Amino acid sequence: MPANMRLSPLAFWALAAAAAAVLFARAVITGWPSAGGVEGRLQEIVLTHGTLPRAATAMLAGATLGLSGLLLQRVLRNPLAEPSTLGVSAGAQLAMAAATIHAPALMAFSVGLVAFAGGLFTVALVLALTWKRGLEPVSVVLAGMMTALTANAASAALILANGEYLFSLFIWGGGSLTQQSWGPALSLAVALAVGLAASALLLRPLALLSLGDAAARSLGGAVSLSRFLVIGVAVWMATTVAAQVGIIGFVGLAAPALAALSGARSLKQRLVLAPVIGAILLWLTDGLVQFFAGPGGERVPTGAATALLGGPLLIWLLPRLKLFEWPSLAGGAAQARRAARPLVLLALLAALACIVFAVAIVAGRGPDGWTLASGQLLADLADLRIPRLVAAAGAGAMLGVAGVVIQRITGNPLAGPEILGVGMGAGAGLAAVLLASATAGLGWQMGGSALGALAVLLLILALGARGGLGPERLLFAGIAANALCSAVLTAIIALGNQQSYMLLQWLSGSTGRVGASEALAGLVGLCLLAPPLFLAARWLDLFPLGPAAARSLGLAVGRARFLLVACAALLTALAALFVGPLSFIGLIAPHLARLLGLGRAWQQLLGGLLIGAALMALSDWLARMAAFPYQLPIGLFAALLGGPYLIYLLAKGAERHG
Amino acid sequence: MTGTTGQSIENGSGGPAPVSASGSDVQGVPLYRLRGLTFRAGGRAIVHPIDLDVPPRQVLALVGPNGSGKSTLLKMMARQLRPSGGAVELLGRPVTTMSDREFARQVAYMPQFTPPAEGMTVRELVGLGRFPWHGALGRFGPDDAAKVEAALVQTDLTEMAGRMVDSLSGGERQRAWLAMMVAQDARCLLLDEPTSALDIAHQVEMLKLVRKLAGGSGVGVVIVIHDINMAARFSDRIVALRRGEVAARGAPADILDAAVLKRIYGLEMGILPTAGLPVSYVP
Amino acid sequence: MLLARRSLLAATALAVFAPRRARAAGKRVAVIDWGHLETCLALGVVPVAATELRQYREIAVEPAPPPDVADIGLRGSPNIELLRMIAPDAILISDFYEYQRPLLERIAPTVNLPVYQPGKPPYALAERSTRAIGGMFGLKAEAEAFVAAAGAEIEAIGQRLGQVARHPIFIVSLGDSRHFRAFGADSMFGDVIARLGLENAWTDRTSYSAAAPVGLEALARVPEASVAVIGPTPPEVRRTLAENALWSALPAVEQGRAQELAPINHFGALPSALRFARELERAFGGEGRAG
Repeated sequence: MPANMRLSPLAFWALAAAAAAVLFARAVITGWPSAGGVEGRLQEIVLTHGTLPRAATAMLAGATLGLSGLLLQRVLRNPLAEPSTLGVSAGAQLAMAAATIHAPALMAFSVGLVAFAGGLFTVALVLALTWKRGLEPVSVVLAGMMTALTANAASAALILANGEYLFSLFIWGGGSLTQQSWGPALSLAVALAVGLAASALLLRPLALLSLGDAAARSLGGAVSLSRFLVIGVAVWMATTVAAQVGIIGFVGLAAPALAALSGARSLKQRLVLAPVIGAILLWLTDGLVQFFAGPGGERVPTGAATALLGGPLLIWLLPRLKLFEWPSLAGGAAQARRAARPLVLLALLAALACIVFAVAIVAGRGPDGWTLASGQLLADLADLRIPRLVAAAGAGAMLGVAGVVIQRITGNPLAGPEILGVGMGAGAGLAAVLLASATAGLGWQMGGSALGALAVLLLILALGARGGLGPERLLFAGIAANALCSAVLTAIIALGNQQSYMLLQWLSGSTGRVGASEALAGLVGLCLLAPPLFLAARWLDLFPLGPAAARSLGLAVGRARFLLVACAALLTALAALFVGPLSFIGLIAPHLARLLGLGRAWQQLLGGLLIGAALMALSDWLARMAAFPYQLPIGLFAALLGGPYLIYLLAKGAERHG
Repeated sequence: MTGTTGQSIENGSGGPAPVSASGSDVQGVPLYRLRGLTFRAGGRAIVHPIDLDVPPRQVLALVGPNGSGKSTLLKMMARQLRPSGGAVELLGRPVTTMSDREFARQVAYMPQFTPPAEGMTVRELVGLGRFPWHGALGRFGPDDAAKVEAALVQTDLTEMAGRMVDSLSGGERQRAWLAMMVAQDARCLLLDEPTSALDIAHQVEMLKLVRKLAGGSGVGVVIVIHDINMAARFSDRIVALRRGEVAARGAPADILDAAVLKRIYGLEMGILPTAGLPVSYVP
Repeated sequence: MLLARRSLLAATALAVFAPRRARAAGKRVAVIDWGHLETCLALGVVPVAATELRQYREIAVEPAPPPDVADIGLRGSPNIELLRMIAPDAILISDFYEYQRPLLERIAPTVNLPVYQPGKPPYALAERSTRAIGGMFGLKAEAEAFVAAAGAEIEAIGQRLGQVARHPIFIVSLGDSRHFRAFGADSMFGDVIARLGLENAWTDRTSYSAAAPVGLEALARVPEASVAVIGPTPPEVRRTLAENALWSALPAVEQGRAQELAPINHFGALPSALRFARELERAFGGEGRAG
């Protein structure tokens, strides 16, 4: 790898390009028209309309993503910014899924435009969410991750509800470079050319922007305008790639970083090197994908392969990035008052949770509209409703306390249990089980998920241990784990078979199949894992003081973090088994608890637990009732409940500091 | 035990034996005894072997230009950084033999950047100072409450005890942190540039408070500070570092000397004699 | 036009048996698997509840469920509460839904009749499950007759097709304008192709019916093959396919041997098999005359 090489960086990339060229030459030679007649003519068309444009598309898409990533990183002063981490790709996918179902005419008009609208919307959302925190890198990436996960869940729900029609989206989500014409390559060439021209024009303002807003403004740069122009161009490039070939992860992140590590110091050098490296990366990856393809088709779509390769690369890369400037962390957030009587407040919250519970058990829809169940029907329905409610509320409670722990440890109010990646780990485990047998029983499915989550947990702890599980380390490990597991999931979902539907269902969260024993298992898990957190409440009180102060007060910071993270991760994994990997509950519940004035750790833990339980129970009920008899995914509903609130919360009084 | 440690350092430090701390201004057992303390990062020595004694009831100021290693030295004393070599003794015991909480009952440390501690009242923040005494599960007893109140009184924060920490001004917030350290009831306070973000009036207020604590309850204070004049005004002794080595040490009056300052900062500086201590300036 | 064809097909679908509205043997059954739903309807058993009927009417099309069958939501997560209110006497599932059994058992005895099992051709399993359903509802004779009639019709179609269709055939569904899924030997379509005496051009491994999406260029590996595209095909794919150089150059396309079939349930039972065979004859029956 370029950093610790004896080889010069340029020689390294030349070698990589040579390897890609050899793979390409092999593809050309094996595909060279040899037969006569019809067969020869077809071979010729495959070569000229398939193999050749595919290589061109790979290089152009890689270069476009590399440039897009570089621009975004530059303009946001954030080395983690790129189309996937900012949610551009997921937003484009959601827009395309929605358009395919509800406005096919729009898709026929211009797929690229639909994708661009979706991508632009997500980026705008992410930036709006983090504007108040001065677009601070970690927060931007966290908000991007949450937005992307939500968009993915929404896409999954759409695909689930519309089945076969969205077969194309499976393929698309995997990012396949298969070509039969030069059209996509041409579109990409145009995007890349426009991007390069725009970067050349904006070279000076871009250089200024890397100094920070204030400095740039004082040097006379029209900061906002050039910033938005650059973001617009970068998003357009990324969504063009998404529209033409689907989702290709991590090239946008890796190419600029590798360019920097390969010795490109000035912006001009990077503008050249990042696209070149992106092109080589994707070309090589696609060459490998084709090389390992069997007669039954490629084993993994190229997009998923880049993510699979990108995960380890990311783990290697992240510690080498100069990442954390942490500008204006003390963003002057409007502060919550403190509850005068926390105990009364907590009792009220408990009562509220009970009311939600009671309503969810009694009220519901039937074949003849709304009913309040009673008598034998109530007894029977309660039998069905209570386990899933318990599971949902339990999961909410687990996510609530896990969220409190994660937010206190990282000192970042935008962090949620999702950043640990264990939820996605559970998904990867489930995927492995389903791949082995599509008809695996629930026990096997649960076991697989638990193993997957455990594997990711061990990975996080191992990765983070060197850095004492500091917030950055935790975030790195989480991003890497999330990326890896998503890649596994995407690759399997791209198969578009029965298993795909089961995975999609899990991804969007479903309590539908929970029985009494699973609910009980969840409850036992909560009872085992939550109390230790309450015992550690004083540790959690110390974490907001920062590691140095906490250590000087006699807290063994590293060990405490290890235990707390392990505990939170187990809780998250367990919750993910029931409600899927995503819901904003782990993020929202701690926020709400704090906003209500529950400031001490034990109060916030208890408040987070109760609010999480109540919100998730409510989500479950709404998910059951909203489109009766069709059950919507609970995870999605929770996200829909929590997302807008989060946006409101973060946008409130959104003056910019710094 | 102590003897052998000392022995090994004498041998280990190599080169000329470092100048021993002047024993004359240390009465009885020193709070801190540093011997051959070294810190290396990436093959480069950030702090060269340093010997230093910190007496009780005194304010010791660590001064020096940027990158001189003063913060690093303080962090090693606070056990925030693991030294690359040498030994730290606290009240005659090697600090490596102490548990985290044991150590925290003796030493309180204020990092250079104090986070806003969102969502906490001043009293709660100060209360956290009792953690080393009651631990994660112990009871927060009346004794703890009394210490907290005393700390609030000492730092003149009783009136704003119910306010949120993040609503305080910079000076008030630093005072609240100091109060937490007072409540920690430690024998020694280590402060890393506690005045860097404060205006001159608040700097003076803060340093007076530190001075008062050292005088009143008999704790020793080590303070990293940029302003040489402030250091001279409020400390009993100054240790000046340059490039990780002790460039000068002595009473404030000895340090405020054109030749000594040149040695520390590599800069021609003038000295204005005044009624009290002299004042340095850049001509 | 499509609609007209659909209703015509729906009319002929149950030519074997007139719909028997009587709830046979007094059993009220809920059906999770679409294949079983087809079979039940074909035998004249009207279930009280079935899954994803909206989607079923689009994709499986026939036999059409009467409007009074309750829709209990997604196949993957049927609405248990509604099922409880409907209170069926029995529930029919297949292997795919075995994991739901613990939940379903609480509503009613749940019967698993496999149609798709790894490595087994599904047609025979579908015959077995048809007989089993017949047995459940006291319609043994009818089930037997249906199985025999289906077999006979497929054989007849095979004989007619065998005279005109001499090319191996790809059975695919188009995902986008660049990729397709091929149905292999272990799919119902593949099995029916074999029973029709035709040759499946896709000889590679598949799992559960269809292979993962592959690029269209894979079609060029067997240049002489015909192509049967199972509907529904997304409108933008239909539009862009014409501009695809490779697609247009395929002999099958040039000679009119690439035909789109109406939507058919990919995981169906005998009625789907029959529907597929009829669709195939409709599309390729004139091949001899055309080329």
